[in-house]
Amino acid sequence: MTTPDDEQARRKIRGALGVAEPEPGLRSRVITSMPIDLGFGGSRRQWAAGGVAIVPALAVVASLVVARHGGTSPQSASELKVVGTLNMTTQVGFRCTLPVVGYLTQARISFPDGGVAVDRTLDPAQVKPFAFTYAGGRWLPVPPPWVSPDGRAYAYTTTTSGVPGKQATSAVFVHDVATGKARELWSGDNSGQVLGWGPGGVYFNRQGSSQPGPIGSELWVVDPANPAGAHRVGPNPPQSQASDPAVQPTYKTFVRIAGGAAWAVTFGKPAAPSPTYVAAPGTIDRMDLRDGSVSTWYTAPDGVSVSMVGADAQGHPVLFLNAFPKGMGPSAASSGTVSTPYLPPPPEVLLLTGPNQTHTIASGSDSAFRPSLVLTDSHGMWFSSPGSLWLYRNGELTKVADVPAELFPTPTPPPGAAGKGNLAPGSPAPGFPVGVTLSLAGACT
Amino acid sequence: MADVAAAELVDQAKAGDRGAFDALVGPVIDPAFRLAFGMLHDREAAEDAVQEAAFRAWRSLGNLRPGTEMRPWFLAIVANQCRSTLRGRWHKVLKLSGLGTPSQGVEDPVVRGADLRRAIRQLKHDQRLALVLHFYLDLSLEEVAAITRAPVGTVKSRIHRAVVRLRPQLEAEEVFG
Repeated sequence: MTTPDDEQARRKIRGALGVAEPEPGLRSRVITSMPIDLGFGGSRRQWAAGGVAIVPALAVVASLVVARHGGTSPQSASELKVVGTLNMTTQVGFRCTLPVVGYLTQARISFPDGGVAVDRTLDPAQVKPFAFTYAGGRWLPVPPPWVSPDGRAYAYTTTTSGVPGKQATSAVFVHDVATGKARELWSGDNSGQVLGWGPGGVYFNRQGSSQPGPIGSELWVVDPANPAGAHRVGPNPPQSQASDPAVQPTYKTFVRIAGGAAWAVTFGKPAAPSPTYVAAPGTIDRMDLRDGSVSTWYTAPDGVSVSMVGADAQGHPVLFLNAFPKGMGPSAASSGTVSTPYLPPPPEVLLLTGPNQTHTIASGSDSAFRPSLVLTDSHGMWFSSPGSLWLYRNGELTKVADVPAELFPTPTPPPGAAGKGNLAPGSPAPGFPVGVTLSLAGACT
Repeated sequence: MADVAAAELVDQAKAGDRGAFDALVGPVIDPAFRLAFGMLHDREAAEDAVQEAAFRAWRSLGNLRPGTEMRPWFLAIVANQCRSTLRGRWHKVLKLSGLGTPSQGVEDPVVRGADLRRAIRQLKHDQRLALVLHFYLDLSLEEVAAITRAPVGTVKSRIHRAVVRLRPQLEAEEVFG
């Protein structure tokens, strides 16, 4: 029986909590997100392997993984096997599946449990694309920015640059995932490189040669629906002069499309090789895709190189700042050409929210956090560091899991290739975290 | 029948039939979301909790006896998930950043309810759950008892204690309301 007091309490509590009608698609999303197709099965016995035990992966991978070739077709339920789990260090509190590539293994990690299901192991004898994206239930041989927003196509470029006896030319293609057919959208002189998709279609870098002065790349766009209308975007390359007399004209190139803008990075070029060489400050410039206006958003301090590795959900750049010792340029520091063992400090990670406005994601003080990759989705920003996965969410960076090395076996180089290829990791400097750095191949969905 | 686990549907869902799982759990998703929202006061966290609860339900199908009432069974899983969420690290961050922020705009009654929401958050889990199920989802005391697996008398007592603890905020609402 309801009393007047109850009714009053009910009314006030409802008023305080507000109306909570679920989104119309919630039921569908919840049902389709069940990992039924991942072969986890409904039985508790089968799940126990994913929740507790780390399966000795080399043997299991060899016996369970179904190797597939030339596969961009969707995976069927029977082809995926759980080979083990990540060592979860944080309860993420949401459910999704994150596609990753570790060395030659394409896999999907289910959260919150960290179960690793292998899609396939690539053949080391075949040429491996430098990046993959998992979209629409398929593995695509390109990095995520090259895949169209609807996941139905991806863009790529071909170039004759570097081919002996050939003049540099390039062409932009769009590949229809469903039909498997590629269509040439544009071709021209000089080398080019796809950056990503934006409001005008496919944006790509084209090595500029038409203007005197500072060298740099031009930003072009081609609309797949109207390839004939391909054109250069804005008054670029953005002009800039080196402020340091020891440094020759700077080289500016676009690196990413995000938040309605094209983002460019400046590299300093030394006048001549010198032990006292100090790189020019790196800058991050923003070109508005609507009007082509250019503004500098960030200038790195002396002794620090800056790179843009991704963007947040609003299109704000994620920057890595890497300090290098005096007398050593960033390229020397990273290539290990110095004689004494060098352990570079972890990068400082910043979110660039406006001109000269940054928010610190990582201060560079945690020696275990040495990210090289970032991917943004609805859960936050995922970072991949050697041997671990991290997530920046609600203003907090947290290590989500350690990645057991045995889940992503180090490939054995083919005979005679030892020391030549990059299939296996090199020896890190003492103190550097070890383990596989997973490539993040798409949103956690 | 839609609210009851039929043996055939359970078997089909256990075999990986998504449609069968939808037939079992789908109808309870909306009330599950309302429960999670009432407990967590955050739309995204509520959706995550429902998704996680659905996954746990799917994993627990083997323990489900035919004829079990789906609604209390699934809402109990959601309630447990909400308890886990409230204990979790991300929710603490979320709570700090969104403290006192209404999720549904800034209509006056909602803004004024900030104190009451905060007080509800500070209730013990059992009291908060009983309160939300009875007053927010409008479930009967018997249904609340089935979900919380407690006698009706215990449910009554929890609700009573919760209302007593909220009385200052409820009365303050009266002044403004």
